[in-house]
Amino acid sequence: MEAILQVEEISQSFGGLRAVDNASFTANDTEITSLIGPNGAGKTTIFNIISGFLPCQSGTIMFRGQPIHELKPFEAARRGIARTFQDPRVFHDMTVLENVMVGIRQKGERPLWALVRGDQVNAEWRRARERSEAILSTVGLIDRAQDLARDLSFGEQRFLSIARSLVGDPAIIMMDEPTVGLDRGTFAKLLELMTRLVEVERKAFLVIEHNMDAVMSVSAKVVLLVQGAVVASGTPGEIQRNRSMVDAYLGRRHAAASH
Amino acid sequence: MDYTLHLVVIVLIYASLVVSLDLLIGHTGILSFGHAAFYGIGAYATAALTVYAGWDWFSAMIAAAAITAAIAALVGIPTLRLGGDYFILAMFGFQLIVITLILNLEPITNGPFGIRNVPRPSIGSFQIQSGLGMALFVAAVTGIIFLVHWRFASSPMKAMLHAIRDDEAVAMSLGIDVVRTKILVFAIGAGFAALSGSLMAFYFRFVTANSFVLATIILLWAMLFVGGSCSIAGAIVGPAILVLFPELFRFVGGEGLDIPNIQEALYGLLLVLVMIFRPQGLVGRRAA
Amino acid sequence: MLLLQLLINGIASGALYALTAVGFALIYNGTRIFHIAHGAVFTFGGYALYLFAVPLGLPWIVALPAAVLATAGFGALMDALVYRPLRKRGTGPAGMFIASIGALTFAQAVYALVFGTDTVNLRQGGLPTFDIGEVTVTAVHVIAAIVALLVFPVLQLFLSRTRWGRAIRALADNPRLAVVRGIDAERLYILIFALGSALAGLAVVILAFDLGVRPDLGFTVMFVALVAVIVGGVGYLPGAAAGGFLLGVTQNLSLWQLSGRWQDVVVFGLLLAFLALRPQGIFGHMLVTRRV
Repeated sequence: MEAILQVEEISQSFGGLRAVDNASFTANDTEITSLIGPNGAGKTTIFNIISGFLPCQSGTIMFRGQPIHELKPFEAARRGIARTFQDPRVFHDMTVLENVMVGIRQKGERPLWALVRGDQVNAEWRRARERSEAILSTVGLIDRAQDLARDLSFGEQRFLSIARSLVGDPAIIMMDEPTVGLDRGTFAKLLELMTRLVEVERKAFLVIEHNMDAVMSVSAKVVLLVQGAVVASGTPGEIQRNRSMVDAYLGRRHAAASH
Repeated sequence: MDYTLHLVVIVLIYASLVVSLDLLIGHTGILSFGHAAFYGIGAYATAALTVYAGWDWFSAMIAAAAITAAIAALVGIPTLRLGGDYFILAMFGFQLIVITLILNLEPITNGPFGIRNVPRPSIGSFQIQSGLGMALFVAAVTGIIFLVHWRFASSPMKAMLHAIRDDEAVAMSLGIDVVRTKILVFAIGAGFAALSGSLMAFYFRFVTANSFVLATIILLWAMLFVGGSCSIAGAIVGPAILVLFPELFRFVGGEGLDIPNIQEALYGLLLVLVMIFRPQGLVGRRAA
Repeated sequence: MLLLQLLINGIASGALYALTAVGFALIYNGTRIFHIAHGAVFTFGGYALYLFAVPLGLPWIVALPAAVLATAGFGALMDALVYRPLRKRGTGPAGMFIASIGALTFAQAVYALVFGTDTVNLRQGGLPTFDIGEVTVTAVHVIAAIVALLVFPVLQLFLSRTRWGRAIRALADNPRLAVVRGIDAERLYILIFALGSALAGLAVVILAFDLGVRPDLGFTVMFVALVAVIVGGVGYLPGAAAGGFLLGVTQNLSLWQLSGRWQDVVVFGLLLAFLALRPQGIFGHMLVTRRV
């Protein structure tokens, strides 16, 4: 099992607040790694640092052996790091198919090529369309291809945002709380999709999750983050056995939930 | 007949401006208040190159567009990476600075007097003299501008620009170099505005700063939103309505009426009403 | 000495810019609307003062506060007629801005149609002046400075000590959270617009009393005020005030070397310099618009 993403000693402070505190962990290729922890533990901040939305104040991040902590978001994306956000954030005025196609970079996007459209541009566009349709089939949205994204249910929009991040053929997909707001059926479909993508397409996942069923059932590794620091890391079984850790985490969650 | 032709030319020139403004605002979400300034820079560059430097119309037009695009890129680099509101303000400032420079750099621009006697375009040895000839020339260039924008809007470029407009962060996470694209589109839009400026210079044979003031950019915005953004048809409908409708006042009102201010009041009111009741404009595809 | 005179003039203009800038900033922070029509509200106050003082012949002691109140009311009216319908529609910030431009354009044109495009003067005689050495200080200079120095601490107290003031700050810091916590945003918006417009009203009555009113008066002041907000740091009211004073002084001092024609360039040159080099302003504030 090879490490695809290595986060080493990253820290992040906002004003006086230390959001991430010397966090280190690795995510392995063709595995699902879950990042768990109470709200405000710094999980989304870590995502933003890895994907380039926040500058890395200290520490390093290696992706497939290359340092990526200085990259801008679009550069990280082009290297093979896909990410979704807590809200699906689909493009409402585009169709489902258009949403996915916009995830593929093509020559036809450049003004000169767009103007003087040759066979090359048209062929590229056709290939992009075919690939997008294939991805839509994979996530189960192909029947909705011509519908406007705004007309989709929340669960469908979630799947659409995942499809959009997949179409560029990323090596790792980072998902921020993908199961929030999904009903039981859609939730099961999501887990099934992730497992399929790992086993068949050999993708890696790094997932921020609060839903323990999801975490324990599909993750190969779990990383527990509390107040910006990595408190424990291991297989789901190991984390669960480490009761004191789990209790501390759940205890904090219960306290937070009762507000 | 002559006056009707004149109105058609005016509508066409504005339409060519609105369609390039639509590329910026409607498709990419760049709320540019600098479009009139780029129109002005293009017009003045064309006039200066043909009148003072004796260039031919075609080279002057291309050079003016290139100069304007370069200026736009320079202005865009520091300002486009800031948030929308900062950018709007920066463009207001830019527009004001351009007017002030035009009025004060007398050696180049002849100050408030403007540049006169811009030569008419010629094809070979035949120089366009008549109103009809100029109207056809303007129509031809406007047609080309529209064609280019239509090509853009039916290409993968359109979807990418819409992604930037709708959610920059998501666009970045999909591998789109948002900053570079915005600067590029901004420069292209400015270049086309400069072409419209050249048309204006050739048609009126006279350029003056008065044509590129803040009221002009507000008029352009009104034309864009009344016609409807993200729409080729809207780029014609908007100018047609806002140019032709006030003409009615000439028949009705007559003497003593402060037509320019009535027009301004109308443009302002229309903008507000359109935003409240029909934000997608008359034929547009998208609400602001 | 010319420089000192320019400085005094600058502080007086600065006070007026500061009032206008803080008014705009209050509205922007509280509602996130780029209320460029603030310039038209400003001008309205000038014409209101004219109407109260000249045709209606009210004594200054009545006309001046009445004009300030009228300005506050006009600002609140604009929110009710223009921005509230847009909020109900779910219009985004771009649409709000476009409507604001429309409102500004419409108002300015109406002022021109009703009152004409020439400057309307409000007073007949000269103003009391004091000569201190070689500089001349007019009553307006003094009043402008005093008003600004009184208003800002009062505003600060209002925002930090009163229930309404704290509610406004909560709304400015985190609109969604404030609404969740039960704050009635719509009523607060009316208050914010009234308050911000009242500040503009204070500035315009002083300015109009001194120099008269014309349709685009507010527009020209607005721009400097906007630059002041950026220079001071968006989201920081004391910064907007400081920016106002700084710009007033810079603008006037620039007259020492440059002709008046270049004043706009000076102001906007300053703006572009700040945007390029220090967009968070002197005091380092930037209203965070969601990036990720």
